[in-house]
Amino acid sequence: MRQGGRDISRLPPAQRDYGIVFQSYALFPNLSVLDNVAYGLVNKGLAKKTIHARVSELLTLVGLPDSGARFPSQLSGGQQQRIALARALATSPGLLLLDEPLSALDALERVRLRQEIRALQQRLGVTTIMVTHDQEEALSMADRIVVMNEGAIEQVGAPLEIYREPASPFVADFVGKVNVLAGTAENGGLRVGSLLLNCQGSKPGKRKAYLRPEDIVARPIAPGDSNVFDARIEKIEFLGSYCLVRVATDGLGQPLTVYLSLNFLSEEGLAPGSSLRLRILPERLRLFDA
Amino acid sequence: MPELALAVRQRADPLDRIAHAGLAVVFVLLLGCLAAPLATVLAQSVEDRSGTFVALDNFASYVQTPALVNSLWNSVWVAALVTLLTLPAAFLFAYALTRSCMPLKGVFRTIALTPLLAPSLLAAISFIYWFGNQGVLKGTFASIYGAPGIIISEIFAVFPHALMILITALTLADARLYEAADALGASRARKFFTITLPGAKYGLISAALVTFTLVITDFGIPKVIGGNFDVLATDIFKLVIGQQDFQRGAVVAMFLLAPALVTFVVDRAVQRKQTSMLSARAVPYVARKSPGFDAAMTLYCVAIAALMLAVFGMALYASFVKFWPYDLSFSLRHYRFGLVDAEVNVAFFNSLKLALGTAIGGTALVFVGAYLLEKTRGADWLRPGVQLLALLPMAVPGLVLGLGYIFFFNAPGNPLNVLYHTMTLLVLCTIVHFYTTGHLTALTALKALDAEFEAVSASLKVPFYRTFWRVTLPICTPALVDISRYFFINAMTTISAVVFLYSPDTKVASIAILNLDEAGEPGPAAAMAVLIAATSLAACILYLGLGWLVERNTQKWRTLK
Repeated sequence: MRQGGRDISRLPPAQRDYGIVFQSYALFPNLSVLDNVAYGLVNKGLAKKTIHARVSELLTLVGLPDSGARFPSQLSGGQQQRIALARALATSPGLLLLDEPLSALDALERVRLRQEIRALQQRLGVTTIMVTHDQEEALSMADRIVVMNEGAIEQVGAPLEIYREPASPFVADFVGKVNVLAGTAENGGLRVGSLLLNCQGSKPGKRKAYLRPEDIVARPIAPGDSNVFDARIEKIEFLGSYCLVRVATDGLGQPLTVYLSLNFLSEEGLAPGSSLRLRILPERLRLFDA
Repeated sequence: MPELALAVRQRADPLDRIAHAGLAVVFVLLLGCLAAPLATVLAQSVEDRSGTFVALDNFASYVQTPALVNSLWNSVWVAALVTLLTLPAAFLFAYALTRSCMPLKGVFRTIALTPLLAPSLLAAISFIYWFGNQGVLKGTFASIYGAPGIIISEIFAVFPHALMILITALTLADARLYEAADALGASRARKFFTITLPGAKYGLISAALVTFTLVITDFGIPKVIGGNFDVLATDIFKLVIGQQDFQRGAVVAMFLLAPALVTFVVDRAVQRKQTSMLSARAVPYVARKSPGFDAAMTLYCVAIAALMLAVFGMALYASFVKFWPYDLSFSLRHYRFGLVDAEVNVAFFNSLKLALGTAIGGTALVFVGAYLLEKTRGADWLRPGVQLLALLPMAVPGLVLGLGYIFFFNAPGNPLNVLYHTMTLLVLCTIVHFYTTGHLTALTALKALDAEFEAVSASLKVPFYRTFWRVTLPICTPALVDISRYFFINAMTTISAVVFLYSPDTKVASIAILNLDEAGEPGPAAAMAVLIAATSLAACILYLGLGWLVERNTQKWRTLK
């Protein structure tokens, strides 16, 4: 492991250059916010005045300029996490580690804070590694994502790359929703049930096709398009502007999950039991060995 | 890329070495003051006088001595009977405290716990005044000296120990179970037998074992009120101090060690089950008013509390009586005699020294040990050893520990024998004797702290001892006060371990009571016992004040909202 040209693999934590924020905040409960943020500064033998100036600068940075005299228990979860962030940034580390920093927060606070952390990180330009189990969080915050499975790296790439071109079934499954179609690759494409799906070339044999719900579309479908089939709506899960719709298809022999917009459903007057035509975008089918 | 999968070992932080050195010191201390003495007892039990290994010959000769086997039988049946009598009484009392809406719960609880403030033999002295040859109610028993006296005194002495365990067990109740039972129309009795009793099962097992062990290993009560009724605890003293028969003394020690070890192992297993029974989502049970039941419970508690006060009160009364039973007028004669003439003032101050030394030294050692174990990293080869040695004292009766100290520290070849008969050794022995409870209290307090504090400090390049001083220690001060009080009270009242270790210069008050009693001076003996209880009580009040101060100065953040 190298950091800034220095081999840090064997160095004890105190000799590495990083700041860390934990899921549990790990703020010292018996110290005031000011003392918490100043914790690493006091140790550097700085003058009191310098420390105070730095602490108020950091508190302003995280949007809690007047909280210095308060104790952690007097702050909300999101505020505590901001203080933990200020504490980690206080010593101006070259690397910031965020260990599931948002997992303990409620949904709204989580979304708000993740934008703030991202903005702060871009402003300071500090290299940041964030661990998360929330794929949406990873996709929305990261420049680069490392997907790990049982300690091993599955894929490294930009968010869109990870989402659109997953390198393994694990990545496809873990990041976002996915339909899995079992089929056999032939010359003409992939045979699933009685349908022959047009798709990017693949060597013949048993395959599993991974397909995101939004890659099955209801419009536009032009006459002559390939991969078009009839489906019947089984269940509609209302999620807001979009609905997660489960459809049965005679040809495929298995149900599919599709995103359809609320507007489309109401315009067409679709309800469970209704029939519609759907199309699978051929370039989005990802094939893996079965 | 298999070469990347190779584990890279992190170098230890130079500062961590300080922690490792500290852990090593704790380990060596426990090794020297616990493991080594115990090992010598074990060795003595399988050696003859010349030190040759004789396997189980000593045990064989023990079993062939009818008088000794008789003591073994006496110890077992008395301890079993006391357990059988104490358990239901304590259970009902705990039930009243936790499951009824009776008034004055705090008062009842305090009265029931008072026996903890004095050496156990206070009960024996008191019962002699009640039922002895010149007792107020003489003739109630054919003779109080012997099994009857031991049994009633032990019930009084162990009652609070059983009570505390059972209160804990009954407090851990999930109200949702009772609501479900109510919804299904279960009767009060049915709820008791299907929810309450099974829920308290582990507490009952634990209380039974603890009671049995306390009784079988207690020395003071059988010594004072046992008369010619021999038990293991008095045998071991006679064999070792009277006859210098270390080998058979060690054999008896093994018999005392056995139930304590069993208790310890079962208790550990049971405690784990007990805590896992109550999930985080359980709703605490809150008793509801029920006039008839509450009145019955109040009556019962009044009766028990009255009995307790009668025992305590008799010792108090007798200590102020001029010349029992002929002149019952008030006098401070016994205090004067006990303190001045019998040079008990030395003993009393020794007791204070011992208690203070144990309270301060023990708390520091226990807390630092628990901290190093729980919150520092590295030196993994040391940790299991320290962990085991920290838990072991609970499984070692004081008499056995004291015996081990004689064998180990009095051995001519041991350079540590300069410590023998010194106050330092008494303090060390008492710290080790009561180590486990303090250790567990400290561990609980430390485990409640966020495990990431140390990692955060390391990332901020703050040395671990600084975080210990600024964060860990201030947060844990209430636990420190608790540990310290526990050490103080126990050091004040202990007899079993120190009875083997004192010299005329280091005699402590609880031993002085034994000597006074033996010299036919029950009045001064009672006065000393009362004095110890008063000191313990004063200490408790001081600790309460200290706790309040600590709460105000270091725990302010807990109450802020």
